[in-house]
Amino acid sequence: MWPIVQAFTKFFDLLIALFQSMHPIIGLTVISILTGAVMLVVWKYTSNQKAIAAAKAKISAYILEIRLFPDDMRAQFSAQRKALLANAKYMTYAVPPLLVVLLPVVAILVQLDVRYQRKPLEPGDVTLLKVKVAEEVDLASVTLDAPAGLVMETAAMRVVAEDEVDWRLRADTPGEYDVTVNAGGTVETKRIVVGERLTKLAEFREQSNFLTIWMAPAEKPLPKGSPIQEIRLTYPEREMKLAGISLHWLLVFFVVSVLFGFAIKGVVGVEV
Amino acid sequence: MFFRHTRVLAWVVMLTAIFFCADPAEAYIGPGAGFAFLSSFMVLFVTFLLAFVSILLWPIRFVWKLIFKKRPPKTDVDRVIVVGLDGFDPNQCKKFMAEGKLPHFQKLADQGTFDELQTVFPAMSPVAWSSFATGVDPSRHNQFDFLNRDPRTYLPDLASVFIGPVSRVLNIGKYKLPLGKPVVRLLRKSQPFWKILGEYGIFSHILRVPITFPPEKHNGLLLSAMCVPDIKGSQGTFTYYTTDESEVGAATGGVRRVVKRSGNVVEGDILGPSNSMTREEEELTVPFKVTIDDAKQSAVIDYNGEKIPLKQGEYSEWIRTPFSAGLGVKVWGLVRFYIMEMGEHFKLYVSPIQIDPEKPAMPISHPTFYSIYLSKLLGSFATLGFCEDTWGLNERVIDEDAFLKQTWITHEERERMLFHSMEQVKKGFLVCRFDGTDRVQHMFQRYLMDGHPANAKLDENAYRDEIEKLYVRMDEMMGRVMDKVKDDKKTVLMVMSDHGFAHFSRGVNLNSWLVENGYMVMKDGGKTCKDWFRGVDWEKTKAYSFGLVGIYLNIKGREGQGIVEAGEEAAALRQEIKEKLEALVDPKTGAKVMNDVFKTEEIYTGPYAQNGPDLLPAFDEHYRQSWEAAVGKAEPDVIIDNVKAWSGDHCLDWRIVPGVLFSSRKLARKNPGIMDMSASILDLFGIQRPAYMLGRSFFRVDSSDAGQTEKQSPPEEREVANA
Repeated sequence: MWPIVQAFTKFFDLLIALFQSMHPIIGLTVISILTGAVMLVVWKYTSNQKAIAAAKAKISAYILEIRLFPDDMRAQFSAQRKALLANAKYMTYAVPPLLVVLLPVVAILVQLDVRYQRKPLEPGDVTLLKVKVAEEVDLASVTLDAPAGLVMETAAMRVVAEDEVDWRLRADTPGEYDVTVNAGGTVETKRIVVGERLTKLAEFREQSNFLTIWMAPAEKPLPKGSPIQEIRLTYPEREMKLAGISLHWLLVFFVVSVLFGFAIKGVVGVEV
Repeated sequence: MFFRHTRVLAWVVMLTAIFFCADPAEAYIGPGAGFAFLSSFMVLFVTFLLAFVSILLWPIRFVWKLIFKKRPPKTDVDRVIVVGLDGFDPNQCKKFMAEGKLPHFQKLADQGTFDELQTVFPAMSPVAWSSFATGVDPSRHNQFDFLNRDPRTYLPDLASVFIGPVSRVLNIGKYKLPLGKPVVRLLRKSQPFWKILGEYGIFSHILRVPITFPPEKHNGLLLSAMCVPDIKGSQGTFTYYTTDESEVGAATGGVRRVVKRSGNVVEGDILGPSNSMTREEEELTVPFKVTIDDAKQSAVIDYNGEKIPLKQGEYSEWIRTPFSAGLGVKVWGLVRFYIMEMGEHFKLYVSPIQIDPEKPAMPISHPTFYSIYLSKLLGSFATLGFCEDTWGLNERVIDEDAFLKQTWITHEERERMLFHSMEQVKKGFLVCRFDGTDRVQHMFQRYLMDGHPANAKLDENAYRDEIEKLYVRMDEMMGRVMDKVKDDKKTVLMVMSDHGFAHFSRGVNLNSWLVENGYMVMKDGGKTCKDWFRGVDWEKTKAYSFGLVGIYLNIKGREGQGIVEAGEEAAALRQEIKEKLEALVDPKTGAKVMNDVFKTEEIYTGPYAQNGPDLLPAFDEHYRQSWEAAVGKAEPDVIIDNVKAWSGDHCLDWRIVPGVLFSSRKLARKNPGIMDMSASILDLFGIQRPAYMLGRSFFRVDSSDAGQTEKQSPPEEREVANA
């Protein structure tokens, strides 16, 4: 499974690299447009287009009916009721294509999330690195080795109740660094990125399962059964501004992909 | 306009909400969910907005109506439903009722009244239905025929509507952009009674009543009918594609084209309207490709991105057809395909291209979006005024079966509209007219007459019971209508027709008769002329005829090249022609051809009488103006056999082709006429008929009916006077 995720992630790396030198919103917009177009085509072939068209025609008709009888409240309320019922029917036709597009869209959203939700540490930023280990591991045996470019500001702090060891790290020089965790002889690394680049960021490494493979594609999961159960740190939130207004990347993705889909549905010949 | 603004407002509100109000987590949905969500959101938003606006405005509208609308006195009638069966014949009704084949009509007759409904002269649908709508005669509503003449040029114009080009255009390169709308003007005078109903706040549904194009505003809904053109602007142009070159030639009512078959593929173009947006005005086309499967007797038509599977002898659904005029402008039409033959030769019939009611190129309903509403709710439907392709059968590009299938498909569309409207109209007036009754009798009357010339090479028995089937089917429909009405005492149900039917086996060419009698002269000294009088020497011609109704004198000062002095000379000439024509005898049978020939003023007294013919022949049964004379031709023989499938007619003496009237409420007097319908319906709602109406309520026995404001002779007396 991991190789597939890796390939998918690599594809996004290449795609994002094209917009590396530009404002982050440009790459996001392009990806949103592509996603909107692809999903529209998927929608076309996975939905009952005739039924959707018929349901939409009925909805339009009932809305027009409201206007046909301006003096007849009974007719108006009847038309409104029928419009709402037809709308409910339309929604049922939307379920099958929704289920089909759900998985690829979630995978795309995860790829965007690891790039646009957080930004790398900047020199001078401080973060906590937390390592969770198995119950049988002696917390005193857990050590951290940080490369040059990162500074360990504190000694290990052991939280026995949580089987957790924490360090405070400070970013010193831009770059991508692997810190090494040693827990009773088991050694694992964790990538920490310092700088301004738009790149994938993993806030944690967890033990491997289907969900972590797909939901945390930026770094390989920890092996199953490893005494190290989780390595986690916190990156700062990325803020995207357009004309002075702060926009969440999800909103940009949603609006651009949907509006583009609506804009080209006539060209592609799709009923949505 | 309001709706467009609502949509813009909805988008602004929605996008604002998403950008600034929504929590990011709420937006964690992909475009798929977004498509469904947005569409549904729009529906909810618009529905609730309209509901809100309606509730808000309702008291204002109520008060407005209370102050400004007229209020009729209370009556015991809430709803009047009129089912119009064009051409439904009283004699056929009586026969089939006597045989027990029309139980529902019988029930309606037993419950109320069944009578003949006197029609007008000339007894034609556009004329009679105009009298139904207005309550006046042709000299007051200005409809005498399908065609009217331009006296300056002797060329025909459509009598009911003027469609003119856009007055100003902007020329850019090869394009000429219209700066305005084309002129579409209704030429029928007077006003329909549903306008009067509207003034009293009574809502009307008017479905497919002839001569309602362009649609007029009133308090209610209206779908136009007869004289609505096809997308080419004609009254119906079929296209026939054949691989048999021997079949190609001139065709009335359509175009025949040769196509080549390559392997199992035939390709061609659907011929659309001329492009009024370009200087060249080239014909717009949409290509099609037919892939034939001989073994299965079926084909797939690749058309406008759709693949349409079709078997021989089956109609396709209505196929939406966009004709691109350039600059992003499209004109939308509807067509049906029908494969006539796919053996040795491939033969494909394409129906006249209808104006798409969902994207109408010109308004065909009131309000304009009513046709859109009907199309979205009930599906695409034929919009052409004369949508059953009688010329297709006359020209034998379709056969009887194809014609019947087409007619009944169209009838079913109308039925859906009728029953849908019946659900909606709890109070008010509803009229729905059906054409199929007229068309089937026009085309199958020949099977009721032994030795009809149109059946010379056909099996005379093949369709002998088709007219009976028609009446039985209408009875079955009326059964369903009566079930819907149940025994609602506040609903009056009427079934009516504008005229009946008679045999048409001999065509009389009035132009040939005029030539023979020296009233029409040809430039070459011969006896014949081509259509629209090509070859006529107007400087020596005293009279001419075209259309289906009568003879015009070539009056000096009125006609472009008139030679007959108005006044005494014209009067004497008219008398002379009248006497000679009345004596006309069919050399084949020895029968008299005309029952009467009327001078205009003997029939008409209204302000538009001068627009009608100067002489109006009342043909006896079996006779009618010939097809050739109708288009201004003169032929060697005056009377010839009618060999066209169109073998039943009513353009003859109106006294022998009355219509029918069934009413769930008993009539108070005898001898009702079609002009009385409007006054009677107004009367049912307690409204006085206006002074100009000639028609009188047949629900009152006395001469001072509900609306009596002007002394008029009762219909019985009128008839005597007219006759």
